[in-house]
Amino acid sequence: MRIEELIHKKPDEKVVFYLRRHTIIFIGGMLLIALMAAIPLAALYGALTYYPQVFERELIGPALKLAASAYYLWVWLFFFSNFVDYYLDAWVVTNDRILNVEQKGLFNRVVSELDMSKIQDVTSEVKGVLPFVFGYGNVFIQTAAEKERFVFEQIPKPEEVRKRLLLLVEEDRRRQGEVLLAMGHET
Amino acid sequence: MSFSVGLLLIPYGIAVILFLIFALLNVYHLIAYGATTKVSFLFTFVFLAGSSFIAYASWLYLKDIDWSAQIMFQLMQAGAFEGF
Repeated sequence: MRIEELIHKKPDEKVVFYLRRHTIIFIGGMLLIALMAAIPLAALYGALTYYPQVFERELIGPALKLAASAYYLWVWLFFFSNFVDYYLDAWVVTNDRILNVEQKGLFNRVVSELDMSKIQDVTSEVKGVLPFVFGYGNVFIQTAAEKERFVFEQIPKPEEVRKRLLLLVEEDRRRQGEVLLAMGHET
Repeated sequence: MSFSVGLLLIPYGIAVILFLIFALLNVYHLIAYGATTKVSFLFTFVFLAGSSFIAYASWLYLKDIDWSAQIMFQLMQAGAFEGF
């Protein structure tokens, strides 16, 4: 099953596109994990150079080996958690609404929904050196309600997404206008 | 005063159990929230393969340790630093 299939679609509703954060965000997390994995190796090199008997000591030797084993298991778990966190955060855009599916850590999950007809303004933003170089940024969706803006964070090609969203909003308004017109003719 | 080296295995065992719980929770999330795609299968496979490799490497390094060996502790005696 794909993430967009989790939505209980309304009749005539179809998924137009879905988004995740830019891959570079995931790769950035991976680089941090690679650094975490490299630090003990550097320490090991230093220890073996200046104090080669360290692993022969009856208490320190086993303690270091156990600590290294637990450390690498946890670093590896962070790698997997980083992937799960990246992969389960998604924005699904249908011709009728936008769904924000967000995984916050292992125990919190937020799913919010925004109707296309409520969208008033869509703003894209590419701010900073890395977003500029890798072409990612934020898209802010302002609604008529006073509640906070809907934000697509660190998504690829934010300007293109903004244009597509505005087209969908226009299309939704036209469709709703046609429905209202048809209802007016019936009565 | 002495204690067995095997006592070190208790915190290690706790770390491993917590690792397994969190690993299963991650896999559960992928399945429960509909992310059962080729990419998620690939990452789960890489994770399992990597975990197996770390477990095997750990076993190689730890298998020759005498866990029943006793470590003697000598309490510092009064006057140990006399003369400094």
